[in-house]
Formats: sequence, structure tokens, C-alpha cells
Amino acid sequence: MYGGEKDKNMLRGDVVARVLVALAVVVALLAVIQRNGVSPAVAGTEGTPQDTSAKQTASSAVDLEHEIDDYTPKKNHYNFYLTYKIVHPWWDAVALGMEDAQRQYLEKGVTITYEYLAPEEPSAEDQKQRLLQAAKGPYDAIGVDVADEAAITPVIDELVDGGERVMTFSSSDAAKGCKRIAYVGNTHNYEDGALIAEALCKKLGYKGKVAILVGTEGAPCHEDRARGVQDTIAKYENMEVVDVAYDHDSVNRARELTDGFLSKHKDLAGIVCCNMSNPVGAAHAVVSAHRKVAIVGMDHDREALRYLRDGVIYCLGVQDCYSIGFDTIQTAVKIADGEKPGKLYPEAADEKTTIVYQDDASDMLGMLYGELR
Amino acid sequence: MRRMPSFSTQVIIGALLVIAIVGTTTIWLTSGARSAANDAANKVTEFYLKEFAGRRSQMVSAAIDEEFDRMHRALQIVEPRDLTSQEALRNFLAKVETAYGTSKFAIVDEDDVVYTRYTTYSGRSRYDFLSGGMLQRGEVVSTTELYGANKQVCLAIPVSGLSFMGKNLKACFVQVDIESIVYGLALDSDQNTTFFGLYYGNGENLSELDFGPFAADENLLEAMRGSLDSSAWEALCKDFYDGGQGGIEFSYNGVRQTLYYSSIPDTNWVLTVLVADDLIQGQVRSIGDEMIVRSAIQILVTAAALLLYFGAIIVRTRKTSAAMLAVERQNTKNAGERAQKSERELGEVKQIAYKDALTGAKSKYAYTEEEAVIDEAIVRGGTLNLAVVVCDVNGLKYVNDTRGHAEGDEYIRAAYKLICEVYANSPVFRVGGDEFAVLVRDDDFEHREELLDNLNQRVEKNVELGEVVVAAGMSELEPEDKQLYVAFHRADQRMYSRKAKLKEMGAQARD
Repeated sequence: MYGGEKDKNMLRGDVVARVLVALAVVVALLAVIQRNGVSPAVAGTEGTPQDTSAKQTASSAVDLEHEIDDYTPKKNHYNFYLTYKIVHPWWDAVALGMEDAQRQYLEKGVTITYEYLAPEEPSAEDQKQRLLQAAKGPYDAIGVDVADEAAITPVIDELVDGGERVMTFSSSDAAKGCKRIAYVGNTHNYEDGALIAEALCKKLGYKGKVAILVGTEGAPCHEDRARGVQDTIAKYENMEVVDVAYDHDSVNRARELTDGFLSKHKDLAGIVCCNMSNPVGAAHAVVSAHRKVAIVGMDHDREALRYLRDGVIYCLGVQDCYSIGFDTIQTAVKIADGEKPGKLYPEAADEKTTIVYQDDASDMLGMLYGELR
Repeated sequence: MRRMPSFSTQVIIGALLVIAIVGTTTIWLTSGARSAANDAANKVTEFYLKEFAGRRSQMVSAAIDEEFDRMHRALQIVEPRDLTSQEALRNFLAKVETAYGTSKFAIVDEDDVVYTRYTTYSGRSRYDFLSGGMLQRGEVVSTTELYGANKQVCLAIPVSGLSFMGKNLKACFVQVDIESIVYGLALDSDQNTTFFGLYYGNGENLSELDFGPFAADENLLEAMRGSLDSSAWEALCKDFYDGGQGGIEFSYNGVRQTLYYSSIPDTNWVLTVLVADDLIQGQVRSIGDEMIVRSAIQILVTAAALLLYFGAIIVRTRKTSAAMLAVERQNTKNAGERAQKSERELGEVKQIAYKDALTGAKSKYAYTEEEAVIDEAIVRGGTLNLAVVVCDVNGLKYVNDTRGHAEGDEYIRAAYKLICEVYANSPVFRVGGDEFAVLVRDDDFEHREELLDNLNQRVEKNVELGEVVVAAGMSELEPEDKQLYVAFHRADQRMYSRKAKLKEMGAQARD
């Protein structure tokens, strides 16, 4: 493939290229000015419209740049046990934040080891056994993403009473009154559910039949969101929730359930998805059935973001998993040192959720998965 | 008739022709040299890129093999006590990382729980190579794309015969720091001249490093699509997919680039080397440009020198011509003056020669010249009304002898005066010491006889008075006379006859 055309017109080509670059800059500037002037409203954690670009929305949705705070750990080695609801990519994203914090502590001479494990299927009983087993281990602190607040809250209390330092993290806190020391994660699951439901209602003109997909029965985050969804839809008399189903955090199950919705309700207008697997399965089914059904959902699954980019999914509530993981380790260190919530860390760290729309999808895919725009 | 251009025009045209020839040949030679240098640069670039890509590909392949070897050696040294507890296993993993310099060494159990030096976590949803039976094929090179667009390149091998905490160990793997590999490939990445990259066969960047002008998150094949024609692009894609190797030139963002690529054995990776042609050809071009500038300066200097030289020639020629013209004019002027002077002097000489100093009569020389003119007229056949009167002063010797020469001179002057009084309209020549000749023309010729009688009468009177006596004889120029002398001779004879008569009358004779 060598020996192509000579560069005898290089100089002229350079001049042309410079002119084109200059034109491109002018066009880009005009485009930016125009875009900023008509940027679509994007909901933040509070669900208020924000006049910002899609790229800013994407970068603010997930914070991948963290530095550990200036707290000086009292020991040079910590060992934690952290368990969560289910083996799932969402918690892999949380794990990356944890690993980042662990590396930064190591650079400061503090070694942190931890186990970060979960069952293959969501199970309160499995989680209970894990926690009880962890209580016997050499752990400075125990963290749990509560699979079922009713079943796990007593276990946590028992462990705390037994002298264990227990915190909750990720998406689900324990029940109110639990003795856990602190919670790092989403504190506004109900509001998240309400926000995505409100977006759907608006999209549908506040009328139509809606089905709700939920994740794990009893999982606080999923149940809270489902309640937020139900309450929001109930506000509009022309809207009706025709079905509710749990996929147990399985994409395949979500698809099967959606297939059922579609065949059962020929006039189904929308589906609200309360966890990460829901919207992926729902989108699969809707596309396969060639139906026009509006889908709103949660989280940053790659396939879900692609469906969002392609207009199959209307919006997604993206939680900042990376920050959750990073802050979980920081908080665990302080808890292990016997520090109480207050100035050093909050009793409940409020990690944000950002509602992203089709215009934001490409930037989110690029930022989280390196996909080409 | 066509007018010839001036000397200056010819010189200028000549100078311009010389400049044009020198300039054209210089530019032609420079252009040829530049083209040849570009070709040479292309060949050198291709050669070195092939070498770069081939050697770096081997380096990457060797690095991968080395990592696999380390994992095999690590598994060989694991002892039962290393698998007795979480702490013991972590210590072993730390020992392996330290001993072999691996970045992250991990062991995986049958439930896909991953054990590393610091953490224990489920790898099932994170690592593709743990599912789908990939490990059954043996050594695996796998890339995991993580949340946040990070990539982890993992080299994994299956493990058998080992168990930990009641569960069989399934595999072990290391995470490869792909950036450090790419950095290790680059010789001068900091100079932004030669870039190395590692890409998947589908064109996605293996590392998180930019590759020359291509951003880290750009798909190389997609990014190059617009820079190549469709057949070249498809061939490039095929090479990437099929693990081929080759090179291609293209222009990206207005900059000429040369890409060489070579697949890494046992992976679906492609090592890429990119050189901005500006690095080599820019140098060549700058040398060529410098040559052209130097040539242009040379041409200009030559042109200026030639113009100055020819200008100087023109000026000098003009000056010389003007000087020569001035000299010529001066010479001409001087010659004229000299001629006038000579003529004047000649006139003066002639006046001297033509005039008798004693009497003021015309001289014998004047008579000779007049005689020649008359003879020439006779030869041409002209009829001349001319008579010659020959006069001889009688008694001059006697006067000289008796009264001295001064009186003799006065006696001659008196004779001349007498002749002139008679022949007032005719030239009188002193043709001898005591002899005069008169050339009688026009009215005097018409009255020649009367005049001669008048002279004779006055002489005869003088004989009586004792004053000057002149014997005269006259003869006309006859048609048969071929020369004036003939008539003169007849007149001379007649004068002697008269002289004899006068002697008889009492005039003093010579003797």
C-alpha cells in the first residue's frame, strides 16, 4: 500500500486544511452556542430541570475522580467484610470505587483487605448466614447491602449488640431504628421511583396503562422505588397501574414478565422499571414485539444505555456507583477506628441519582464503557 | 530593412537568457533531488516501520509468554500451607507478586470467587473468561471493559488439583498493565513523532492511551475510514481482523501519516506504529525547501551579478564611446584647425613664392604654375585668347656696375612700374633677374598692339631721357602651339629684335 500519491500539493493541502479547520471551529462554536441555547431539560437528583449539556449531565452523573479525605487512620491495616444482594454488574461498578479507595490508602501506607461477596440469587437467608459467619471472622467492620430489611435488620442489630461494627451500603439501608452505624448509598429510592414515574406520566400525556417491574421482593431500594412509582401514578386519574412483577434481578426474567405484560395488555402504554435488570429485559421484549411502549428505568447497564440512545427507553435514573464504593471504604475505615457519625462522616451519606435522557446516552456510553459517540 | 536592437538591449536579453537557463536548471535539479529524497524517505520509513512493528510485536508476544510462564511457576511453588486460610493465601499471592513482579495475581475458585492479595470478590459478572468454557482451551488472553470505560487485560490459565477452603481452584490470572506495555514500546513517545498502540482486531484501543492524533476512545478503523478509499479501508479491516500485517499511508486532519501494523501471535491484538510523515518527509521537505531557497538566492545573486556586470559593460561602453566620440570630435576640430593653419601657411608661402620680393611682381614660380594651368587648358583643346609679352631691362649691368646694386634694384623696380602702368589689367611676372613676362587676356588682349606701342613709345622716350629702358616682344598663343612656352619663345625672339633696335636708338646695352 506504499507508493501512493506524492505530496507535491502538500503546501496547498496544508492551506486548505487550515481553512477547513478554521471553518470547523466556527461551525463547532455556532453549534455549541445553538445547543446551549436549546438544551433539553435534564433532571437532577431533585428532579428539577437543569440547563446543561448532555456531556455535563453524563460527567456529573458519575464521579470517577476521587481522593480519600485527610482523615488519618489509626491503624495501618484493616480487614473488612462486605456483602450485597446479588452478583451483578451494578455491584461490580461499586467494587471499582472500593478498589480505587483501597489503592489510595495503600499509597498512604494503609493496607486494606476485604471480602466483597454476594450470592448468585438474591436471598435474605444467604445474606443472614454470611453476616453471621462474618461476625466470627477477623474483620474490623462489616458492611451489608440489605437484601430484605425485615429479615436483615434484626441480624444487624444482633451483630452490633455482639460488638461488631456494622454499616450498610450501596442501594439499600436497613429498616429505621436499626443499630447499624452508618449507611453509604442511595437515600432517596422512593424519590427516584417517583421521578422516573413522573417522567413517564408526562411522556404519556398523563394517561394510559402502566406496568411496573421490580427487582427483589423485600429489597428496600426496589420496594421504595416501586412505592414512589405507585404513588406518583396514582396522582393522575387517567393513568392506571395494570400489573406489578418482580424479576429477582434477572434480565431474562424481566423479559419474560414484559412479554406477559404485552400479551395481556394490548393497550399498555408504559413500563416503569425499578432496578438495573428491569429495563434491559423490558426493552428486549418491547423491541421483539414491535410495540410502542414507553420505558423508564434505573441504572447504567450498557444495554439499557444503548436502548436509551436508540429511543427504546425514555429515561434512566443513574446512581453514582463508583462514589458509593469509594465512600463505603472511607467510612468503613472510620467505623473500624471507632469513630462515630458526625463530623468525620454522615450517618447516612446521600449518593446522588441523575435522570438521563436520549441526548445523554451517547456520552454516558462513552464515559462508562468507552463506546464511540 | 529590419532594425537591429541596440547594444544595451542585446546585453539585457543575453543576461535574462543566462538567468533563465541557470534558474530553470537549478529548479529542475532541486525538484528532482527533492523527489528522489522523498522516495528514499518513504522507503526508509517503510523499512524502519516494518522493523519497529515486527520487533515490538515480538516484544509484546514475549511479554505475554513471560506472564504465562510466571503464572505456571507460581502454581508450581504453591504449598498446602498457602491454602489453609484467607490470610495465608493472601500472603502467598503477595509473595508471587513480589517475586515475579506481576501487577495483580489472582486465583479463582469453582464459584468464580476471585482471591487477590487485598480483596476477595465475585468475578462471575466481571470476567468473561470465567464463563463460557474459555479456560478449557488453556491459556487465555482476555480484556474486560470496566465501568468507567477502563479496560483490564487479563492473562488466565486453568488450575487443577488445588483447593482452597473446601472449594476447587479453577484458574489463576494476572492483570496486565497495558499502558506500561505501550509505554515500553515507544522509543520517543514524548516527542510526538513515533507512536505505538495496541488495538483489538475490531479497531478498538486496547489501552487508554492516545495513538498519535487518534484519541484513546476512538476506534482506529472507524477513525481512518474517512481517510482511505473504500477498498484500502476494507483491506485494512481485513488485515486487522485476520491478524495480518502491512502498512498504509494516509492523511489525517491534513497531516500525512504512515501506519504499520502487525498482529500479536495468540491474541486478537494488533500492534500499530504510526509515524507522521512530517517527521521524515518534513525534514526532507525542509531540506528541499532550503535547497530551493538557496537556489533562489543563487539565482538572484547570479542575476544581480550578471545585471551589474552587463550594466557595467553598457555604462562603460557608453562612456568609452562618448569619450572616443569626443576625442574624434576634438581630433576633427584640431585637424580642421591644422588644415586651416596649413592652408594659411601654404597661402603665405605661396604668397611668398608667388611674389617677387624686390619688385612686388608675381614670381617666376607663379608664372610656372600659371604656365602649367594654361598648358593643361591647351591640352583639353580650349581656344585661348592670350598673348605673352616678354620684357627685358636694358643697361642693368651698367647701372649695377656704375651706380651700385641698390640703384640697380631701383632700376628694376622702375622697369616693373613702367610695365605695370602699361599693362594695368594683366599679371606681370619677374621671370629672370632683368626679365619680366606679361600674360595678356581679355581687354588687354583686345588692345595688345596698342599697349605694346604705348610701352615702346614710353621706352623710346626714356632712352632719350636716360631713364629706364625696357625691350619688349609680344606673341599671341597660336592654335598650333602645344605649350605656352612656344608663344613665350616667339615673344622672347621679338624682344631681342626690339632690344637691338633700342640699342640702335642709343639705349644702353648689356655689354
